[in-house]
Amino acid sequence: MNPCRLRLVLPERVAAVALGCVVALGAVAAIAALGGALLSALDISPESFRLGAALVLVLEGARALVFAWPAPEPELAGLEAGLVPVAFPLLLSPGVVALAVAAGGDDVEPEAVGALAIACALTLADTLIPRGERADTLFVAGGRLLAALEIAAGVALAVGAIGDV
Amino acid sequence: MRRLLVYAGVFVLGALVLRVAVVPAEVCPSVTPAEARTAVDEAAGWLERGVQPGGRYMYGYDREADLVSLDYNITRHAGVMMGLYRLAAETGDREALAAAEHGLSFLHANLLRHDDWTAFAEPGQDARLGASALVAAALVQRRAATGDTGEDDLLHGLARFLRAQQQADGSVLGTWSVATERALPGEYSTYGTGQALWTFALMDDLFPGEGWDEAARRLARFVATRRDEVEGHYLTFPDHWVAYGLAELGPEGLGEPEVAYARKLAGIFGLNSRLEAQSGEDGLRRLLRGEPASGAGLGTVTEGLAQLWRLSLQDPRLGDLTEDLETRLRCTAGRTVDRQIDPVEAQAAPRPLLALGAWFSEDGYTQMDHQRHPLSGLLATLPLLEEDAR
Repeated sequence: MNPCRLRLVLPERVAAVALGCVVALGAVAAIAALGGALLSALDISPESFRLGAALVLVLEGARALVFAWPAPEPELAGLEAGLVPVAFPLLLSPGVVALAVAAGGDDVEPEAVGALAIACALTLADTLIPRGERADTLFVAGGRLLAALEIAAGVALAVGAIGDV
Repeated sequence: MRRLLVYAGVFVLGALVLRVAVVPAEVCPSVTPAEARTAVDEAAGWLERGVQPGGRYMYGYDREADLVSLDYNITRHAGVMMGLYRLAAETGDREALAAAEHGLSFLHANLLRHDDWTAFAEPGQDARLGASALVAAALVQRRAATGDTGEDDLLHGLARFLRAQQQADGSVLGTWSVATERALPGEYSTYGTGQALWTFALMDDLFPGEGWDEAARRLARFVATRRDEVEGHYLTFPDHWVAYGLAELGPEGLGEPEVAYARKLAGIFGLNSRLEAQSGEDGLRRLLRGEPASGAGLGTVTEGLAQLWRLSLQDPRLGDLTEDLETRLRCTAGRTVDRQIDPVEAQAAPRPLLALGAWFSEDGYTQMDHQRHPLSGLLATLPLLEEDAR
């Protein structure tokens, strides 16, 4: 999740963003809770799935690095914008969902929900910064930096998965 | 709404691609101790039926062409002897012992003596580290199987060759040149290094106080700290012989660098085991994962995992790996047993007895090490499977 890049497309309504965060946190908690059972049902070891999640992170990070300005998202009216587009597709990105499943496989569900909560808090804090030419330039730069970090995190996750039994 | 559906479609498609191409199912057939024991016996039977004149063993068999290979490799000869002696030592298998003893005459006929050492090398050929190390390991297993000390002088001579190849940094050079009467500088042996480590450790167990522990520890430190860099391996080289060596040295013989290295080695064997479990003989699995591992490939992964599992039970510094190693070991052992040619499948071969108990590659070929590695790997896995069955 990339709070700086998200700020460029999130609705200006803080309440909708907050609702989207709550929905995303609930969804990630549910996905993580089921992650272990899902991987087991699919005969995938947690270490192997971490490699897959790492690939998703790297691709997602690369996309955000190249396309620093996200395309505007159509949004539902009122608070329903918290569902579309805030919760989905903006917050529940492929990388977040893949990490939630991986966290379930590795029995670190609380850590996954905690990390998303921090990212959501940063996203909410971003919405307090008024948009403008200068702010957007900073958000783009910050988005690129976080995208690079996402790639690095993906590589680190892959290296860890390779090193695990 | 349309855009939302597109997103959902991309999500589902991405998940499908991930499933098919990146994380296909890991197929792990279950295996009982009885099935593993039968597989060991059948593999040993293939080797035992292959005894040839002159103390040799049958090297390989192509069931598609119905051709017995006339190739030979003395390191693999040593491996067969080692595997059969170890089986005899652990189970009292008399047929295995007799077949292993058969290989002694080939060993005695192919010895190179220089200074105070002896190497296992064919006449006129350079002495290779791996052949001598592995045949020395075989003679240690022979001691365990028979209690006979008649080969101790040869065993010491072979071990002295390994020590003569050892450098100041603990590494061991892979070849001794007949032409120059010197070790070839800078030339290492792919598996000879690990085989030498195991042999040094075995020698110290059998003949404590003779200084073999020092050679073993110096080599273990080189392997743990410099080997991959020196030999140009980007990832930790999955050397099952090093796993044997580390397990033999045990907790008292391992410093922190060796323990850290054992952890990395376990990781690379775990990765190989998972990737192998994702492979298949046809369909997308075949396309995306390539040919399933040969018998030797399956066997070496099983051997490596089994030795590191054994070490993890002894060394609390590696205790956190035990459960994962057990999971991988059960899986690889199950796949190994599953891929072996059983009596019914053997009937389809032109010569069923040359197929029975073997592991064939896709091209229909098998050779002695395709049976020897799974034999040793499954033998080392039996204690885990027996514990599971209790």
